[in-house]
Amino acid sequence: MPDNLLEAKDLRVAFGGGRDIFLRRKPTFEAVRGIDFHVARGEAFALVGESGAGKSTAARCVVGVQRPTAGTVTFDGKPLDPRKDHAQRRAIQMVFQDPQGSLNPRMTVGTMLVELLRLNGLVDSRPAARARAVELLEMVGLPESALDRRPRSFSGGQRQRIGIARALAVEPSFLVADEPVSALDVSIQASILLLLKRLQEELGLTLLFISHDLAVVRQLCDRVAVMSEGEIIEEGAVTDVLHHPRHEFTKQLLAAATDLPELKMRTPAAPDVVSQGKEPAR
Amino acid sequence: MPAEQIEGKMTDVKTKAEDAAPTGADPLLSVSDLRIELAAGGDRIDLVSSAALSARRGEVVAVVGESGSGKSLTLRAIAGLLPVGIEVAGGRIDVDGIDVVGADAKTMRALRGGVVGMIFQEPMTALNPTMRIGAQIAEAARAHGKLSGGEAKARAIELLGQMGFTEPERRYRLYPHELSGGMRQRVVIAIALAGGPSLLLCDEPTTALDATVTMKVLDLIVGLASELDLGIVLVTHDLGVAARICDRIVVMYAGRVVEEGSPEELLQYPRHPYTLALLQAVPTRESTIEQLQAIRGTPPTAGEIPAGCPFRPRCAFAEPECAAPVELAEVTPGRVTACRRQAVLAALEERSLA
Repeated sequence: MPDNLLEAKDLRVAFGGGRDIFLRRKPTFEAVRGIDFHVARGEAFALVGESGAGKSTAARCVVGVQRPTAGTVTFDGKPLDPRKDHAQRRAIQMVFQDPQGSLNPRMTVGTMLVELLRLNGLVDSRPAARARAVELLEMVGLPESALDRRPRSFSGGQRQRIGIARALAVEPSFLVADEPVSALDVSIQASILLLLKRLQEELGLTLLFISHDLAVVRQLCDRVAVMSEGEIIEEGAVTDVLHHPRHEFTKQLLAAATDLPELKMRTPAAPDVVSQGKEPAR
Repeated sequence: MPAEQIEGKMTDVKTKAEDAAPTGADPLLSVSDLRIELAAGGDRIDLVSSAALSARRGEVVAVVGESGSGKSLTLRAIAGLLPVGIEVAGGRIDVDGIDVVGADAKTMRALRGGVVGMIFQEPMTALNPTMRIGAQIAEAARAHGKLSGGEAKARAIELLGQMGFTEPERRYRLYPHELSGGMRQRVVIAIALAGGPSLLLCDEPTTALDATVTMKVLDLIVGLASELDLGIVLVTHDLGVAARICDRIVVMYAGRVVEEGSPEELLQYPRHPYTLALLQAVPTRESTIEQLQAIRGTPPTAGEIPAGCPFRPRCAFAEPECAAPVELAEVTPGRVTACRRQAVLAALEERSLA
């Protein structure tokens, strides 16, 4: 078994190109310009950068919704091609930024999960599927009653939990999370981050995390690569990059972070009420 | 020469500001006991039950809170832009001496854009995609001043320059789709300022923008506050944004103001458990996930807000006495909080005795 679950070499993605109606060549835009990265088994790896840096495009290549123009990506030692390889398609799952837009508004949560489980042949009967759906909801901290409700009736944070449950339904080993908390309120962000952390530990997931927020990345990830204009400009352990940035762009990114002044209070220890580092009671 | 007139207009604004009595005496904006209701069928649901807010010229005030806290509705009420079916049910809103709640449609039209400028979250939806950006700014300028076409154009170009556009004459002719998100937001700010308002309302102006762009737009907004002597109310859920640019922070929860104070005080020594909980839920570059504390439970939905302190069911400091109604009270000069247990929080402070 190779140590690196995912390895990308010289990954390139270009958009545009081809010819217009007068057969003139259209300009191409290279969103990802030959990047190399790897994600070790069980590791949490982050790609950070501003919008347009190419981080989401790179992530989309990994889940197979974007075809790279050049370069090789291997997953578990085999060439990555989730479009053809059904096992790979199950092994790599994605959590999206906008939980509202990524859930079918007409389906109840139960129907959605049950369909997913049955289509993938993970359960042999409807009652078994339902039982597994309840289990999945429990895993992400939602009650059984959520099964019969539609996405609309949930809050943003709860919808993101549903998005995570859906990704986990097919028992993936690799989770790609594209800005999973940036559309959420601060108070909700913390609980989703804690949920992801717990799931990663419990299920032994390997995580590719896409974010523009280095503070968020710090909470979850071991290693980080900073992208700018389609290239990886700096890579290293999260704490190193945060405290000793080498590249000018990373320094800029850090300087732009809106940091809070340090709280100067002895934080109350009331473990029954506020659970430090744990998800709150729901 | 139009530029002179514009110059004149600008000095007008300045003199008005100087006339306005010194600090604190006569706020540009004052909102008190504001109640906003949703009239659904026969039922009336309180969306905002007691909002209080004030802003002086040259001052940047942030209103922070989660979605559903009523912060955006409060802002919209000031500009008379509440959605259909939602109305002000009580309280006062005064902007530059104008009573907004009782005002007729004509007064409100003159107020919006003329006295109050507003910036929205999504710059793309606030702009007309089929019009050149310069024309959109000029249109706003003409709506609130007797300007000729040429004068309005000159004003638009001047505003583009103020917003940090290089070669404003050339940029005048661009369409919104040719601009980046940050640049679009600058155009929206220029439109908001075209009528020469004295109060600028910003609803999550940087939420859709990148971190580095956010900083630039915020710096621009702060610069305007002092340069044009504007009062600015900024609604945001990002405490970092509030910390960086504001003179005062107002925290809202479940349709009411729960705490208010200067950023230094409020963010370092919160006196309301909700503010404290929010601060502990923010991931920072220095903290690890073990230190991160999520707030338990979910914010109450409108119509199901518990009696007494609305934060009580989620509060780490709650006592039975918190079930009784609680009012905002001043704890130290400039600090107000709506918490019976604020003394407990005060006892946790670690002030250096330097």
